[in-house]
Amino acid sequence: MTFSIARAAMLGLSLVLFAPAGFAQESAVPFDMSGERPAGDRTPEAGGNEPVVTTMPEKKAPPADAAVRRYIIPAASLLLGGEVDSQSFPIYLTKAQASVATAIHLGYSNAVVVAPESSNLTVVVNDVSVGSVPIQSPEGTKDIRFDLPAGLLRPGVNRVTIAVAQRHRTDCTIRSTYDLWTAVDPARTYLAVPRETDGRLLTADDIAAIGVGPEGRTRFTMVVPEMGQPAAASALMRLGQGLALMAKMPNQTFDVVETLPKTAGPGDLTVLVGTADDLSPLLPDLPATARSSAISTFVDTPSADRKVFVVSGPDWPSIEAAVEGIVSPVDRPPGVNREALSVRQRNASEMPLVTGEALLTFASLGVRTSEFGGRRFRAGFDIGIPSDFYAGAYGEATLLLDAAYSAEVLPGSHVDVYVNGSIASTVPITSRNGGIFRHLPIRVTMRHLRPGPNRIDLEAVLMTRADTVCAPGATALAEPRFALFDSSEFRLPRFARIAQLPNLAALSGTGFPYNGQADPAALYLDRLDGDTLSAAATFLGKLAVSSGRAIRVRPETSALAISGRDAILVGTISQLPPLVLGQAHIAAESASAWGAPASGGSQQGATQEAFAEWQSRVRGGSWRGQISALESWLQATFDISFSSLSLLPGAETPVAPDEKARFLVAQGDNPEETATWTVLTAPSGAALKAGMDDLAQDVRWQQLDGYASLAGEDAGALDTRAAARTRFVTTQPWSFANLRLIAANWLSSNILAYAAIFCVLSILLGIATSGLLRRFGRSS
Amino acid sequence: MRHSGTVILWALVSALVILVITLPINLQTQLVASIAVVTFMAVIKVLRAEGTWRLIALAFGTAVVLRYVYWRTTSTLPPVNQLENFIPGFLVYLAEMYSVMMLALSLFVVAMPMPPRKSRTAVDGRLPSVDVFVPSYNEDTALLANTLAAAKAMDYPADKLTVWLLDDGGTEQKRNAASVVEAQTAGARHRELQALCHDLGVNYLTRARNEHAKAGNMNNGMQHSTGELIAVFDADHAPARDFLRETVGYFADDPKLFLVQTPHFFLNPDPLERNLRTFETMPSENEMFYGIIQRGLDKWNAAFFCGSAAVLRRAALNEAGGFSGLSITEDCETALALHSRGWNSVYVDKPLIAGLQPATFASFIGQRSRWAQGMMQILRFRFPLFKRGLSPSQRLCYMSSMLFWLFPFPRTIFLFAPLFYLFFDLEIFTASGGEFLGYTLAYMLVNLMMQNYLYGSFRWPWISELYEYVQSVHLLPAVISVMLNPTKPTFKVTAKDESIRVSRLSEISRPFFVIFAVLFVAFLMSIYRFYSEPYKADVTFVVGGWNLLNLLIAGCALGVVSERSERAASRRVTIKRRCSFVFGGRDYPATLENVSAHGARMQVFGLETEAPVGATAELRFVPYGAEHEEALPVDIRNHENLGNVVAIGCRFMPEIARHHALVADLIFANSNQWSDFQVSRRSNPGLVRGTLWFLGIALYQTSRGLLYLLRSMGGRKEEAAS
Repeated sequence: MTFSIARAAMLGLSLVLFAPAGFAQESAVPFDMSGERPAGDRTPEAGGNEPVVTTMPEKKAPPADAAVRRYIIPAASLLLGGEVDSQSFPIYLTKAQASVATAIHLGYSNAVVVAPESSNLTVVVNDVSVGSVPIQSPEGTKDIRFDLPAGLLRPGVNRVTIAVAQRHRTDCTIRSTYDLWTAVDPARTYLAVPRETDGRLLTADDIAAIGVGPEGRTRFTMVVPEMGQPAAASALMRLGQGLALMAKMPNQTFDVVETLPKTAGPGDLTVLVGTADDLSPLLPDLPATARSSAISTFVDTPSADRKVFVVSGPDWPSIEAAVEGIVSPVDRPPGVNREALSVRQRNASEMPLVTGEALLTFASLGVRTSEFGGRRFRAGFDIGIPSDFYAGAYGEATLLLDAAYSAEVLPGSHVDVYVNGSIASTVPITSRNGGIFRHLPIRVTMRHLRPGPNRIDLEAVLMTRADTVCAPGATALAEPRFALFDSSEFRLPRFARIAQLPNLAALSGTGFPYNGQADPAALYLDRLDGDTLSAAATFLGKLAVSSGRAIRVRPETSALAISGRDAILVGTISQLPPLVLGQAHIAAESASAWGAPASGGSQQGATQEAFAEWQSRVRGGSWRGQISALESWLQATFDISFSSLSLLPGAETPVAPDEKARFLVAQGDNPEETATWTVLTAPSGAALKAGMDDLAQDVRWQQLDGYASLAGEDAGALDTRAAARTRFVTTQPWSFANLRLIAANWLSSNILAYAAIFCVLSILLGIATSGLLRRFGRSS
Repeated sequence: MRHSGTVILWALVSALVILVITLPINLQTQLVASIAVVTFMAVIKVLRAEGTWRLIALAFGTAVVLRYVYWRTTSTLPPVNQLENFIPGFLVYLAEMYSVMMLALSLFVVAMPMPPRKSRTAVDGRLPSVDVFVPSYNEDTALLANTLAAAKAMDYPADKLTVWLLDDGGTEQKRNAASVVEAQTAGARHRELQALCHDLGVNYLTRARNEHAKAGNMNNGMQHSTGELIAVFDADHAPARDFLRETVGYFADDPKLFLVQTPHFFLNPDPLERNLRTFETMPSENEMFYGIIQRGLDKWNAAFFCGSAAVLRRAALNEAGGFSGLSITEDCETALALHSRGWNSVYVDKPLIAGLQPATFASFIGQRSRWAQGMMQILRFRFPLFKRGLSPSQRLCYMSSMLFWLFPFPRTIFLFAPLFYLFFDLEIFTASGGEFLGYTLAYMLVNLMMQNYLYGSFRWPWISELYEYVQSVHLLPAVISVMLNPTKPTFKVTAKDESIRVSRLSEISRPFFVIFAVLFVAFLMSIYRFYSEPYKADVTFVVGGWNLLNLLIAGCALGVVSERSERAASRRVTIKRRCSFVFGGRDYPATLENVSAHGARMQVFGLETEAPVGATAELRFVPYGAEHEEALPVDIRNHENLGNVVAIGCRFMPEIARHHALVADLIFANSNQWSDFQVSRRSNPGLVRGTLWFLGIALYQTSRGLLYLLRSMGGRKEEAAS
């Protein structure tokens, strides 16, 4: 999809959200670059009483202080490592911002060993290099500033790329390349945008320009004076998802509060939701129309230092209509498939959603032809995988590599392929005279792929004689040794597609199974307070971005009322019904034990630890030791473990969060095994909100996996529990080809079953053949 | 259809098996399945389970082989855009697929071979009249005399048995040849054989021109004879007394029967057996064919005529216009023609004749070239797969027999394939070490186990490979030439009466030494590369291992082409038979120990006087089918006192035709001795023991071959010096 349509749509929607049908048909979804939606298939849902969106003129002058900072990096830190590295970030600008932003600021520091004379940092905006400096700030963070040529920035999505080329001062080894890093400080890296002084109106779709804070976070603060109302919950959840879909920032969280916060920094947006009566005490400037019809608009705060977004109306039904007016333009109707995942998740380039056989050129994946004169070259791209991906055990993709290496490169060098950080393939370079790979097929196992976004990296490790000698200055030689061509292709075969539940990876990847359901999922909140609503809104916001559409939910007050529907259950562990805990494989005693002062449980854990330690100590001599030595050999050589040799899957072990765990996401079937329940829980309401905020960070969100994932108090990775027994859910029409591939994957993960089937069929074949031969030919 | 239920069930199970085999499962699963199957097969093999278990074991093997084929096809071929890898890689792939196809065909043929038929002795009464044809071209009189005498002595009513010597060496064309030497030789032969035939009571027949070689000769014989059945014996194939009794009866059972074929049994070793000294212990090469494959063909009514030791029905031959002579293997061609006309054949698995193998390696290769070229001609002119009138199973059987002779191509490819990697660094087979273990090694193991299971007691491990290799070197050009020029090859008679007086290298041994040298350099190269390029040591290890296997076989072949001298002019046959030794007018009781075409050794009891070497004596014994003792004059060649008895070696001095008949009676009359001898060699050493045994042989023969080479180079120098 082209940029211009999105831009046109954005402009077109600047005044009214609900427009006459003809207009609505022209406009596409404003912030989804995927182009998955054919124009004209949307029918306006507006009824008779259309809420009118008006914008208020800015009345007060802005504070005199400096420009607004539009932070660029949606993360708490950014480290560019190795000899070449780059990261691209999308940054959404309003028309006003795009026209007045003049410079990009960047603060960085680097490793001492980076040689300044041969290392540099380059900033590229919208494919135009805006400046390059030697990397020379080993002592502390250094701020630099690049002026931007006029007209370079455009309203809408801009792409900012920070790239480094780094060389070691003295060392030529491969190892040394891992010591090279440049840290870019997100809090000091921004576009400087003067405060808007032109009196321009803020519009609802400028919400997309919310951006990130200095920590890389995006926060919507929803001020809801009457959050205890069940009707409010429904509207909030829907509005939250709409806002999330508009902004599509990687680390979005929602705070649901009762009072208007005093301040809001970059990356923050305050949204007031409530009836006109509820809001008027908070907001004297509330437009009078709110008392008669639904509105959604920006309004100045009482202190007049900033604007807040207001969604209001005379009563809750009209507020819901207003919410619908915001959400439906960015929603994706059921039955419409995506071709790409959201573009703003990780990288500014397109992330195609591969649902079957596909051949993708590197050029289309955003990998450029490049020449390289160092030791360790790395380039990569992202692809999206559907939630019903079921080829992890058998699947093999192929990377058709177009590359060249010079005669300098010694045999023993290699090209490695990584999938989501795990090595998936290695191609040794064996020729001494240089060589050219022309579509060299590299088989890449699909085992590390997971639903949602996936990162595939290509790394060339190049050894040369010059590097062995490592003469002074040798680290900086510019003569290219390796070239990667963008005509390389990544080929995915048709793969098995059937969904498995529980599967939190599919949940985080594409919002499965809630995504695209005809019936609304049940949303059970144990109480309607700020913490619970915040956690639920944040979770649903993440889910909406993953799904590319707003998930329809219907709040339920009783877990028993959920019965046969998919459900999301949010609450503190002590409040969740035992039935829910049981279905989600959470140990029943956790309801009282989790969060309580440490008791005998930890003692038991210590015993187990000590036992395991002793077992590994005495392993040498015993018979049991021999067996485990055999197992580890099998594991190391062929990746076969004894547990993979079992014929039937075991039951899930109930999760009993230990004292280090702070937050838990678990998934299980409903008692009838017809629907899926996802449980978000923590020992306390505050922990629930904090845990969900933490999980909303994109890095964490991508770690969700298995049937349960626990977040600890430290910043380490999630503790995920792989599902042993899963329920298959068909997502594709029955076809022989798909069934065959599903069987291949199932048998590849239940390897003894394959051997058994193989043997039984062979025996049957022998018997059948014997019967046949006795009846044909001359009888004995 | 009567058995449609069985067919449908089988098809269903096969479809399921194919489905499971073509699932793209991962390596771990394959590995575990391979281990399970290999274990299962080993258990079945160790338990020597037969019957349905045999087919279950074969089904296991087939499934693993098919999985290998699936994997090999989908995952291992080099990319097409790397032509330097793809072309050799694809050739190797084709060679492997040929091997798999041949395995499939031979599985079809031998899946359930006919058990040996019960002796079907023809009874007196209405026995059909039989003409016995002994076609000859240049064989010497003594050889013919034995064969004709043995044929004449067959147990059959004399009025229904006519023996014909069909002499193509004394035709008018030959007698009137332009070359005076040739004409004189032919004339002398003509007269000599006429006299012999007259003495033996055999018909002598020759013709005007040598047209259509052996087929033409026999067709000429058919025009001059009238018997209902025709038995054919090569000049060196002497039948046992019960030959006709064992075969003729089948013709009465089935009016559409055109052929009863019996095995060829050889008295002497072929060059490989002689040079490797395996004749007494290891089953002969042709026992696999006659012991299993012909029985398998018989199951599908596709046993074919092998040129000799067979009985044919004249009516059938007349219908097809006699023996076919388009190819140089008229025997198989004739059988194909008659099978396609709806006639049936039967194979009797009992050796009833004894013949001679070509003695030298060169004539052995000459014989095989004729077979290979002839089969290629039939394949070209009478493509059996689409031949009308044949049943589907017959088509497959004939295809199996013909396509077998393409083996020089894959054998050559397998020989040179490792060199592509070792010398030129080409990667023609893309697989990791783990995949090699899970697929290729399992495939090879299963293949060896299946072969051993099917042919174990008829063919020891690696012997097929050795035979194929030693033939391929010279057969490859022969097969290519017949492909390019299918009408060119002409019938050449294989010489069987040569002998090797001094140990020497075969005159066609040079290519074997060259190949050995190349493979040896490649072997050194593989060791060098293993250590110098550790990053691809795994590939080098696998390819080097493959090359080492080739090197072992090539080394063993050096022994095959190093011809050992043979002392005995003709092979001795061990017998136990009472006789009396008449010397100096006295009868001494004696036991014959062994006999050959030229003489005998016996233990004589009570001989006290010194028997001088060169003295004349007489051997008296009762011939089979006679009632009285008859005497055969002999010369004493040596004697040895063994205490109670004296061992005497003597030489036959046949004076009249009857004496030839007596010699034939001693050697050939009793067919049981051939069976007993064969059974004594039939043991299955098993895969492990067989492989170790072969390794020993290969190492020893390599050294012997190299020694012969050194000696011959020394000899040449001496020649040059003198």
